[in-house]
Amino acid sequence: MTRGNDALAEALASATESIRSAASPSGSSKLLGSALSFLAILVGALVLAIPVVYLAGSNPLDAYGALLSGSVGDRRAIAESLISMTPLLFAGMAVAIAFQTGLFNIGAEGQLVIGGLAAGYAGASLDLPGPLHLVAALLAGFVGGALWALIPALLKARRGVHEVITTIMMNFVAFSVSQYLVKPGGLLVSKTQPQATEKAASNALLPRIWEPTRLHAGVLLALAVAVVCWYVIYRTPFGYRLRLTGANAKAAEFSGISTKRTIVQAFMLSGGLAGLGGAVEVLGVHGRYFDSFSPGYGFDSIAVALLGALNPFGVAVAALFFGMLRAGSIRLQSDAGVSRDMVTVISGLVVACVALTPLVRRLRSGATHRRRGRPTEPSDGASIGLDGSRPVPVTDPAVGGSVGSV
Amino acid sequence: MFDPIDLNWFISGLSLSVPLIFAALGGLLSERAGVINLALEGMMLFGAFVGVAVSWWTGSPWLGVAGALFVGGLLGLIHAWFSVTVRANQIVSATAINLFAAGLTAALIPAIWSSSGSSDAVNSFGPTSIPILRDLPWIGPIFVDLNAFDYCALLLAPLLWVMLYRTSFGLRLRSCGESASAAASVGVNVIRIRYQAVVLSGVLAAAGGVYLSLSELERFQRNMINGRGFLALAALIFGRWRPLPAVGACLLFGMADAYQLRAQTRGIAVPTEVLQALPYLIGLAALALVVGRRAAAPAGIGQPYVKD
Amino acid sequence: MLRMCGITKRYGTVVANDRIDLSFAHGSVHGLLGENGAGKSTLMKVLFGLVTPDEGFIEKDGRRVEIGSAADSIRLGIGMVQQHFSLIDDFTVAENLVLGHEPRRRGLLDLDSAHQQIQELSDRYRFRIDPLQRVGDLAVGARQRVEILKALYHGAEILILDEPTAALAPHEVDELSRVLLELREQGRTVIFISHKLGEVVSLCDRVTVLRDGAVGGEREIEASEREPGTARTDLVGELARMMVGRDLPEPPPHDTVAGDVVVAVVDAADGERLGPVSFTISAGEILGVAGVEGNGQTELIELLVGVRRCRKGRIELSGDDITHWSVRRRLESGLGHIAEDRHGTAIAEHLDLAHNVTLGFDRIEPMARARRTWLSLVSMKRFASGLVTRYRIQAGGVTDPISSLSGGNQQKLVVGRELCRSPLFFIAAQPTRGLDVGATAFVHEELANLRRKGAAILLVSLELNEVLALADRIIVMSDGHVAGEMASSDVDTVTLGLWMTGEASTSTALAS
Repeated sequence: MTRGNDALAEALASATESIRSAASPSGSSKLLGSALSFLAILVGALVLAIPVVYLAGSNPLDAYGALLSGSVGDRRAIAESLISMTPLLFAGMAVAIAFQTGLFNIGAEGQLVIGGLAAGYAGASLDLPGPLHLVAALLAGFVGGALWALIPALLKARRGVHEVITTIMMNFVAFSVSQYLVKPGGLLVSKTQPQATEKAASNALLPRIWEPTRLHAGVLLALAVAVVCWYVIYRTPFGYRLRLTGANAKAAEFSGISTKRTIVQAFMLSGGLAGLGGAVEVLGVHGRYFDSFSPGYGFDSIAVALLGALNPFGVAVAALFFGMLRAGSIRLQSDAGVSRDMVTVISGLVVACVALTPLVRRLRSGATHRRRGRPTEPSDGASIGLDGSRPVPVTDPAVGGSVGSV
Repeated sequence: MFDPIDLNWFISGLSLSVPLIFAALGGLLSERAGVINLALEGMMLFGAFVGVAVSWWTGSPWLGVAGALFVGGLLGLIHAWFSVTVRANQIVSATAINLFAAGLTAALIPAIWSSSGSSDAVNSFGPTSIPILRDLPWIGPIFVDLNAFDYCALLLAPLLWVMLYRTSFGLRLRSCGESASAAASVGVNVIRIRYQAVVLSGVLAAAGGVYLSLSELERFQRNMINGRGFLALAALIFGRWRPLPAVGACLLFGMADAYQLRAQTRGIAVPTEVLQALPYLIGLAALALVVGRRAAAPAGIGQPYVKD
Repeated sequence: MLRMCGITKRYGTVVANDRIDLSFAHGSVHGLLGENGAGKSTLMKVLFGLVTPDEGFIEKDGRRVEIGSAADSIRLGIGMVQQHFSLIDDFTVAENLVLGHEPRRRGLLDLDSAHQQIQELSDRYRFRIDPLQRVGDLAVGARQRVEILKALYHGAEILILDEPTAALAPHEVDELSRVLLELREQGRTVIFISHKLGEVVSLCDRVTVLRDGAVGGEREIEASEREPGTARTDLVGELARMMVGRDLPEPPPHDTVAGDVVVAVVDAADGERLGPVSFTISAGEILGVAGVEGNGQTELIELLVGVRRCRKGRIELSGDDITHWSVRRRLESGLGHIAEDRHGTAIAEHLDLAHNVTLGFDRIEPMARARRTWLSLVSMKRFASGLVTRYRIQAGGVTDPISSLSGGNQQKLVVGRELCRSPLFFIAAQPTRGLDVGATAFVHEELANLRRKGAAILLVSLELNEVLALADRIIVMSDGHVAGEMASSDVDTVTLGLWMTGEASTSTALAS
């Protein structure tokens, strides 16, 4: 027992039991506010995408109609939406956790690829009984992604190199690695299928849960992982350290937290989650690892994380939306003649709308209150929160010690 | 493995580093004025695309370049608006531009040309050989194969140096990056200068992109920039935000790129994929090796300026 | 000849300036005296065009003038040197001075003519400044002179200096006063804003006292009253009364005797600019660290907290060698720390109160439960509530972001949090910086309580008066070393000043 305990007991004993939260907004109005921001961003992005739709040779009615029918039009479409949602949820969580720690993990795509590769290989080459094989393969995916995030993590923690550039470089290296391993004559290439690994053993695959669609158990795993992530971020000391490091790394140092260690841990967790996303996609949808199996899930996940306000439940909803976009994009291409890359355009617009939130906040507070002398807006302009009432991570690219300039 | 004094290697390395040089110098301007510019990749992509599209439509590569530069400036304006006026997170807004550019340029390929991966071929620039210099012994051949763009890129670095360190605009620009409040206190219009710097960086980045599409590949391909915008940033950081060292770093990356291309055709034992990854690995190594980098960055970078 | 008539400025319900009438004469040093929050800064911001008054007007040489911006006031020949310099470290003196009005020749910068002009100006007022030097390499006193030079370079006849001696050693204050005299001789007007009575008396010809936004009194100062003696004491008392409306209280007596040595720092060095440093602090003792900013105080604190590695020597706490202990271990063993930079180091602005009070407590009961797999939000909220009640902090709810609290209340929360570590060793760095009178008194009282309870306290402050009032012993840091040590009852400002600027070692000081 340390001295701190005695003092704490004393402080608590002399405190009144009632928590003075009468003045702060209740839980339900915060939720309403978040839902409104979410919708505003979404609608904003979709509206801004309209001129692009015209440029691409279609019109909003056809395009959005195709998207809708391709994503929720029939049972198959709904299943496809959920299937696409799954890797997005994992990768979105990965990016969100990184953001909470003040890190920009743009390398989710590469981590996803390596994770899928590891899982596909483990699924095909290991020989373990029953569900153990599946668990091992998933674990391999997690470890693969985590290891892929290690280099950017160490560079950041030890040398202060900004992670945006390093994670993007690692993405390209990952693509090269993948091509190298599954090219004709490559180390891991299947004898029967080009540009892919051998098919995984049947007990290493994620079972289908909604015949006759392709929907697999990965979506349930994703939701479970989201709950676990919420718990870890908001209810464990580890999560506290993550968020404090993201909120003020220097204060974290002074309060006894090793920010270097926290950054590496957070980065590896993030990479691992992304890798798990790749693993789930490989083991649930394809049954083997394909080169270029990801249509850009890692990049969409940036938008997913931001749209979801970095909160696991928000990320789940955002992942669902983007999953619908991805699923619907097939119809978008076939029916409305608009390329599937439109989804990336919408990603960009979503991120742009998120970037606009400080402006919206300023306009709103300017309209409802007169200047009260002290500005309530964070003056460093680097916060990426959606609404002021929720604790949000702040990243200052020039903050002391751990972050380098870009 | 390589001929040490191989002029061809140098020339092709030079050509390959030109897009990096344009982008890195663009990034230099923006960051020296205090605005982080991670959107170089998207600006290059748009430049490459618009250059090809306009060239295809009009038949003239010069109009293509003009169009690309214009769009680059426009993107710079958007990033400036996000960073300076909205005071958004500069990395987030840059990511938005990059995603948007990647998606839009890829989505428009099938809309304009029938294929899905790349555009049709377009007219390009021929080499511009310089009369007296080309006859010089030893280094003469350099001045035969390069085109106008290459010369521009080479001249740009010293020009930018003069601008930054010997003109009043350059002094004010640097002051905005070091301490916007100190600059504003003596009447420097921080907002206007930052806008100008970021718009210029867009123009330069687009120049790098259009060089790649019009001059080298003579067509536009999906995602053809392939991370060069970020390599340019790595070069900028490695060069400590100074024009001449940054260009030196770009040349380094360009030579590495040239090496991997030659090695592929010469059947060197290293697998092509490893060679393809070479520029990125060197980029990583360069970043890892930079010491005391925080001291070299403009002191006030990334901090938005709020007028009282 | 400058007149301010009926200047009034309101911020909501607060009246910062209340119908103030002031006039400044040519060739004088005019002091503007008042406590923190008396309205001095606001008034000068009005004069310098940074703030528009709600009522009142300004006259220069008999004519009404409109000052709507800093540019207007510069044009009228008014220059201001603020407390926080607006200089660019990476530029030379010349580059800093010409910024915004650069001389040009054939399209390019003409730095040569600038260098010449600046050298002339520096020589005329005997500033001793080299235009080619990089500002970042200059000492604080020199940088301040660069700021003044900048104002003069832009044609200022009237110079406003806002708390100019805050960061200067007594020796550098002398240098500044020489410069001010020179300016006065040449007909310039200097407006000297300060809350330091002693300096205003020593340097000014005339002083206006502001109290609670209004003029509390005005006085000419005769040369005879500047010399130490009854005249000066009377004058000081009179001004003090004008300033606070009452006599200044006596400093509290040091009535307790220190116990055993709790903290021992022996030849500690960080391998860079700090050290070797040696001192001890006993139980129930406050050791004050005086010294001009930038002489290693920050590094010393970082060393003691554990954020900076101690590469040589050792640090002992209650007999344990804590030299290589982690920050967390030190905090959990009874180290408390009020950081000098609250926003950078002590709180996370966007998190709520509950999360902020948990800093340093996140691994121990009752915050962390079940072998650290669970964070108890309830305990965190209860802790925060407890602090709010006990220290009478004005806050909304414990789930509000900490940025909704005023600076003083934030500091109270931080102080309360740190005190709850039941510290053996308490480090207070600039604990009252930027706080109003009430919050300052609170902090001083808590420190006194802590001392009574037997903690060893290290007080680092740039306010020499604060150190003198609270500390039992004082050490002075200069250039990363301890330049000297003395009991606060034996303090002599001359020796202190010499130590601060590293111009005398302890032995020669004792000998003189």
